[in-house]
Amino acid sequence: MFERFKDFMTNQKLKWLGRFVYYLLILLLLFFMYGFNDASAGSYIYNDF
Amino acid sequence: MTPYGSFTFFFILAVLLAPTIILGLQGKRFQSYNLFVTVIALAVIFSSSLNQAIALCLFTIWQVVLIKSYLAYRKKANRDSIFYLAVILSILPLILSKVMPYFSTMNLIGFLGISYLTFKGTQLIMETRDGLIKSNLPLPRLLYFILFFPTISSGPIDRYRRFEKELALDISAEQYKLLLYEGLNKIFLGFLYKYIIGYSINHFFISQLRFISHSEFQNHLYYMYSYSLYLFFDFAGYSAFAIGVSYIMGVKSPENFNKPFLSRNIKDFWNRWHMSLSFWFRDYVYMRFIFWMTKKKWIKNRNLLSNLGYILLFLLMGVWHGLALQYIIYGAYHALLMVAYNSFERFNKKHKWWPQNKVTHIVAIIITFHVICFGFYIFSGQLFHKGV
Repeated sequence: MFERFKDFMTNQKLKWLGRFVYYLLILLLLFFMYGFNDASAGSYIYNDF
Repeated sequence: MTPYGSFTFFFILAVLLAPTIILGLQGKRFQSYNLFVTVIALAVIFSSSLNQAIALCLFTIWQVVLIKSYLAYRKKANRDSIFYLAVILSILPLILSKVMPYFSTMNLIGFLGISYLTFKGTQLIMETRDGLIKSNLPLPRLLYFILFFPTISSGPIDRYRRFEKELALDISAEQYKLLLYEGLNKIFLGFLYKYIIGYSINHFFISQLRFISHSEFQNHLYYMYSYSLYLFFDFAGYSAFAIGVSYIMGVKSPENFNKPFLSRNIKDFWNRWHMSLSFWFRDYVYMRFIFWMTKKKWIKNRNLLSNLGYILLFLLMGVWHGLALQYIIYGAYHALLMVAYNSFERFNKKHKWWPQNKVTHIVAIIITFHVICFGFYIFSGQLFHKGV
């Protein structure tokens, strides 16, 4: 059972799908938060030092 | 234009780096083209301020002349006084840029990234003194190292010998594919950290705190934790962008963060937070101080020496952030924590008071998290202001 689960988790296609969903979610969130505006999320704190 | 500060910047980067990616995927060399990209990217970054652009040019000439002169001198002689003079001259522009705002409304010396460029310049002088850099530094390579644009505004602080080794490597198409993949991953992580999580914490929580909290104490408490998380996601987001773009340009810039909020103690924290800066201070301030004091035999107690080294390191690090009270106290706070932890570690080695197991591991992480957040609360300056 554990071996099958391990095989499932190390499956390349699944990894690829996971990455695809992760990137897509980030892009969708960026789109929902900023739309087509040239967003600025504020200056970086450490740029001041 | 602020690096990684807007989508336009990323669009310009995508256009500029497209030939690098194509060349990389074909297994061809692209470092000459990257020099051209660096010049254009610097022009874009500093286009909004002529003063800063001039300051950057003058600063670069100053550092290059200093490094080259010291290297030439070091081949013939090795006097302490010349070394100290070279180090002081190297950090002089940074000191002036930090002090000048207190005397004048115009800061003609300062520019975006002056601290990080100074760290690189001083590092070269120190490594030349140590005999680690002996051969002549080719000017284009030296300039490329100092002005490497992905990390120009806030690091990570790279080391010359590591950087040079990577530039000399021939990257095959397969190797570049992996670099590109890792680079893109980091850039997406940067978007998640800075533009989604960091922005949300600041916009939806910190700026709304006066409506969320019911008392002054609650207000400050919420601020302490939310600011700590905001600072992390803001800076780790920037670092992910900087490292990601470096990877795409074929340079594996060092990491800056390694899950800092999972630190078991304050020493562990400084091995995980802003790593390139803390390692710089460790190598070029702490270690040098210990070495120098040991050589002079002024202090023989090793523990006292180590504690004095930590105090010097963290006070300098605090002052580097700025000559404001919050930064000096922030440095002193961390120095105190480090000295206290050092003493506790020695005590525990003898008496085994704090056992090593899973429970104590988790408890240590929780305690360290709160102690660190209080440090960031000092750093934010809110402790010295009325209200949030």
